Amino acid sequence: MTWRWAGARLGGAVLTLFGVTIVVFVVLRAIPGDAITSSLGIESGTLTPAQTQALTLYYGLDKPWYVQFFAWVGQVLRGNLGVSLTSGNTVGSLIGAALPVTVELAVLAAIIGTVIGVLLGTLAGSGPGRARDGVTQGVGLLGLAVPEFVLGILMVAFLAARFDYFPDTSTFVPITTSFSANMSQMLYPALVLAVGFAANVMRTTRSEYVEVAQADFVRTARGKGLAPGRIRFAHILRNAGIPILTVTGIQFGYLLGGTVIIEQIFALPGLGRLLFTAITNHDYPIVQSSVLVVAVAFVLVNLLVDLAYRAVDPRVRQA
Amino acid sequence: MIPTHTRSRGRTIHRRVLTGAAAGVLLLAAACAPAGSSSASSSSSSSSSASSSSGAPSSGTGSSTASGGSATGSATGTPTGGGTSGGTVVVARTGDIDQLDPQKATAFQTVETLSLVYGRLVALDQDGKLVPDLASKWSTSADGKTLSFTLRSGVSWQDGDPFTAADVKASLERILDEKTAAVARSNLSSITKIDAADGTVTLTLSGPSTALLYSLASVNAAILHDKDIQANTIAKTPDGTGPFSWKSWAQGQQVVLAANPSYWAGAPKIGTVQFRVIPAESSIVSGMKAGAFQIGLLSDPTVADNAGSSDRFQLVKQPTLAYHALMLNGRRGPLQKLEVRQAIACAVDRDQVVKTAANGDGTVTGPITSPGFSYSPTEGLPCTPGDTAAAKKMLADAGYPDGFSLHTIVETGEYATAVAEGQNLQAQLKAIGVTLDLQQLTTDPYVKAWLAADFDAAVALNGGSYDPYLMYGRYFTQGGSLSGPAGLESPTLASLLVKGNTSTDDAQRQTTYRDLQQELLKESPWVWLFRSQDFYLVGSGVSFTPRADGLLSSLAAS
Repeated sequence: MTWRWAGARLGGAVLTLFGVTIVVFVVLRAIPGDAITSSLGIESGTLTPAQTQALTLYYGLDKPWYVQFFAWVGQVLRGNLGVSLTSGNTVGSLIGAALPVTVELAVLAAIIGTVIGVLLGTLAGSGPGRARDGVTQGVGLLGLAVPEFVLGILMVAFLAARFDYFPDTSTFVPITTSFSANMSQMLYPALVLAVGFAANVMRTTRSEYVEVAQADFVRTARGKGLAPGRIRFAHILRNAGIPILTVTGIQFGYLLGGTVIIEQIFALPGLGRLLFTAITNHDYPIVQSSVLVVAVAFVLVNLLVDLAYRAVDPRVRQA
Repeated sequence: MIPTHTRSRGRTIHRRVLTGAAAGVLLLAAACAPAGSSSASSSSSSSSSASSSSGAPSSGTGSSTASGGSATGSATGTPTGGGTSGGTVVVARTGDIDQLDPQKATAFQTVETLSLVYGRLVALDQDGKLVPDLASKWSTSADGKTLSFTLRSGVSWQDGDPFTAADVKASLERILDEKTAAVARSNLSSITKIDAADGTVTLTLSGPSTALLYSLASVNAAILHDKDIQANTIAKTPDGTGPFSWKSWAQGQQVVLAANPSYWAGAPKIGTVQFRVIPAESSIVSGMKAGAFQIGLLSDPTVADNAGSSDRFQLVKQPTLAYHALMLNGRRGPLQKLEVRQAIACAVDRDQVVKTAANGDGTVTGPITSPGFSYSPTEGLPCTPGDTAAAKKMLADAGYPDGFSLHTIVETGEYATAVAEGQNLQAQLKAIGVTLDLQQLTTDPYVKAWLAADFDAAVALNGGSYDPYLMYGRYFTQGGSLSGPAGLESPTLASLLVKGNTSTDDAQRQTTYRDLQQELLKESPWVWLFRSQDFYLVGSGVSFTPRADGLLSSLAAS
């Protein structure tokens, strides 16, 4: 890996993040309304001027937006993500509690989705046009078509009706504390999230598989008398790997979005929930900093995918 | 409670999106459920997360149904429900509390929760009657300008300190201080002097006001610990005198309260109340079916009616004090004419609005929604509501045979029925030639337009109160804080309100407020439609009685 390459990537990432912070900051303030109106409703109309002024000061809305922006960025660079306008808790502690939930959910869903997707894609791609191809593709299409919230609500309703079970999310249990307790909270939402993920991975795997399977070196391998399993995994899949990785990376970004809805349905205290509530409350510090964290995560994932290319494909390493 | 506009419990937008679209899905899933498969009693509480895992069907494969529901409860060994002392009641609701200062609380969940933690001088019972709380008795002087409270003795704060008259004085002064930005300030502004002596508090008023006592019963007039006010810890660590003590708050997840063993009226039978945040109402229903919650709070009629009742829980519907209305701006255009407003009020069939917009879950109402002041919902109107022929004739007589259009604002996202109400009213008023141009606004712009009276008509859900003056004084008295959006000034209305509020004789107040109701209907500044309903899924074995103001006071029964 060249240092120049790494430097360029890093510089790009920093620029992207700076852009994101500005956009979020401005868009957030373009949403009509403010923290005072959203917390007080029509009572905001009954405030005396002195009360309004006290609240404006309290919410820090008295300064122009660019002053607020640089004050915030300065604080963030010093590691201070701000304080929630509504609850008074530090944003750092709120995100610190919520982030592991969302990350685990997304990673779990990505792992389940990738495994299922690659297996099904291989199954379909190894027999194009046959019955198993049709069935797998049909299932994949269904997985893409059914929205996550419908699947999520169905899952919750099914668990309750069939097993008298509702995931207890009153206190989030980290995976390091208890694997089984953690899985009881996370497995079902992750499964729901994994469906759409798997469908996408499956479709890409299938088409790549079909394409690579027709390449000359595969015929040669077959001619050499290699075992079909070895051809399938060591030759075809290895070479179909890069597009699959790309899809996985992109899909992972979407997963972060999907967690917002799934966290609502399964009542998981993740970043999506935090963000959603904060937007409705006009709790600017939480929204700004959470979006920043998500953006950092997104950029990091992309960076990792780039690095993974190099591991998978020697040609990229030399480029 | 202070009328706080539209702080309905399902105040988040997603709830409607999720549950509305999926109501059918849920119904389908519910239909597939094996009927009566739940052999377990409703004894499952989830107070320990570690124990919950034991009840999970492992990866959903081949688990038997028999053990599912009882797993968590039996693991903790705590029987739940109002019938057993020391049990845990898990209350599931869509939103979390937003802060910890009761004097600033407006969000419904915050009011609901802190009401169980903080005492007030007086309280309101189920029917809206004033009853003693921290004041064991009170008296009003003959001229109505002095209000004396005898404080209960032997009451202590959660931190163990004794409750004193100084606490009351400091609490009320905190509300009156503009810098606090307390919600109840304008309702208590008639207090000019607060004297605290040993065991008594005397308020000197600028004029007599019966509404003041009702205001003092609100959690926004919560009595705080003087020491906490000095130390500025009110918004950080709740410390009350109420039936429940504060235990913990995990933001976005749960609030835990524990029975206050030294509560003056006796420790509540329920040992622990756990408020869980379950954003999707359909998930609340599922959790009730699984026995994970003992009480589920719903606001979407579709979800509630689909949930119905089962052997695990019962659906209880409770009409609220809040009311739905089409507010008319009588300072603009044709609406300035009394006959025009009356024609609109006459053209609307209230029952039809309830049926089409609210799934039939509403009670047709007049202006006053308090159970203590119950009058005919339409007496005072010069016609039978829904009589479009008569309404059309009134409009023609007023000089508008061809009708006119009204710029009508509708709030989206705050409550489920708003848009449907607007559309139904639009269809009904078309019959008399009045066109409603509906403008849908999200909460913040709606509130801003509403406060600025920037509308011809507004589809509104307004908060109610047990006291008629608290409901309408701010709209229809001289210089009332919401006289702008009220859209009409009427000396008759103002004087009736003042008369009702200054009279101490109950019978006289009844007559006055009945006159007020009829005068409001006659003047038709707004078209009053219906009281919405709150929906409670109450687990079997839990004794719980809902209230019109939505408070959960019955959890405190000892």
